[in-house]
Amino acid sequence: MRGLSLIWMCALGLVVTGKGWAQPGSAQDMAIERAIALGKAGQIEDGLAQLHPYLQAPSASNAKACYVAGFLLKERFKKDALSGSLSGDRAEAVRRLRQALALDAQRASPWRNSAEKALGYLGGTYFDDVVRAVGSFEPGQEERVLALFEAHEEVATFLDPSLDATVERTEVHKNMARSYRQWYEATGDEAHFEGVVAQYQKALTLSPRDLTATYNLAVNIYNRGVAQINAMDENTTLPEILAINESSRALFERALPWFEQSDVLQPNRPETLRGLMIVHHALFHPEQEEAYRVHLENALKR
Amino acid sequence: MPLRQRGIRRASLWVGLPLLALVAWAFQGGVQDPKLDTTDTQLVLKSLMLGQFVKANQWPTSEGAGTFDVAVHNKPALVEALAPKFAGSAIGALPLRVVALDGDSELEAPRLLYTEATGPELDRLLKSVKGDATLVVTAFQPSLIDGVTINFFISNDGLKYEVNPEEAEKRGILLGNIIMSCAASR
Repeated sequence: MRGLSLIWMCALGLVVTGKGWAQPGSAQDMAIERAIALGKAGQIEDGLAQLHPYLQAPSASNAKACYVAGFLLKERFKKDALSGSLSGDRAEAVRRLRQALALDAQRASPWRNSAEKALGYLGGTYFDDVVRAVGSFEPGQEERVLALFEAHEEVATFLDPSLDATVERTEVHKNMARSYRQWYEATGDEAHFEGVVAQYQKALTLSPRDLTATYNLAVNIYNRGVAQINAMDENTTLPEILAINESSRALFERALPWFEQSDVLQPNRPETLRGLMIVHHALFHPEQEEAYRVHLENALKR
Repeated sequence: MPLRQRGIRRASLWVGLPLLALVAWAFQGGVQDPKLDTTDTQLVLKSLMLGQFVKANQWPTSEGAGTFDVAVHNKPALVEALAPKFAGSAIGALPLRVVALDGDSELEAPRLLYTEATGPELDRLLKSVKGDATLVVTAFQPSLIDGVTINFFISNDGLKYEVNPEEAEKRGILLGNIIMSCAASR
């Protein structure tokens, strides 16, 4: 509570003392002061109503009104704790704060730091939502996770236009691939396995040299083929064995280029060489299997 | 420090902190996941197919035999894979038994002999079961050779098998329809 009061005092102080403000005593000044006072009293809706006339088609002279509106909306978002949403107070707060910063063409307003901090905080909450969404991921939620990530990314790149979020976006896809794999292990649903593959492929579209995504994709596909074989038992008929032999072979062949690509990305990595040896064994390629076995032995000696 | 610079520094902090957290979280996506399954798939496929070769034929009755022996030559891992599959099973009244056949050990006319031997070693094995009611299964021979009923071969990266029904007939074994119909040719 004390922390909250402190934030309000800071925000209030910045706004009241700020230069570049509309002329003291103007209607807008009065409205902003009332909005801040109402916000401190918890009457955020009333505070926003005070600012409403200045937010319709804001120009540079309304930058602070936008900032205060954004700040009020951010406080209401914090109070209501309605995370996970892409609309509502948080989105509107981001919009107003960005608007305020964009209208502050001189970039010298005293409230600018506070606006950037508020925006950074809101961007961080989107990021927290991404982590939560991945942690409780259910198949089919990819778009929502990505939308949350994009909301975070938009804020981050607004604050730092030089930021490149490709690596982070890649990690989001890799984490969703991991979630899909856990789903697949629990359900055995083929669609969940394809979810693993699709997410790793999206990660690799963004970051083609990502070794972890490449190798994990190879292993997931290969293991799927092995699982098909391991699912057979003495009650499996000969035609079924041959059919599964075919489908597992197709998976091994599908995994092989990803193992090979892993070896290109990081030559002599023992895990990759072991994978290449094993997949060639599964594909009945004795010469290649032997070559990678020797290669692995040499790599382990280094 | 000019206000503007301070603002940029603070903004960088607010951008940087979540990104640091993201990197920490993202580390989860950087781990090897899952572990590579190192099951010997060739072994599993061979053991499953051999199991079918045992079950799907009509075998001649054998006077005095107490068990239905499946001999595996120089492949202890295959013996280990087959043993649990056959445990408690029987062909007719004869309990199934998997026998490991090493090096020069003597054969006592098993019902099925599996070997990947070549050259003189294979010749010796074939000689030792000549005329017996033994289904000889080989692997990766260039072609079906005399004395062999079934040979595994590789086609399009997959395991297939070819059969010589005449050889089976000579040994008094009637190959099951399913074995015949699933056989491939080269």
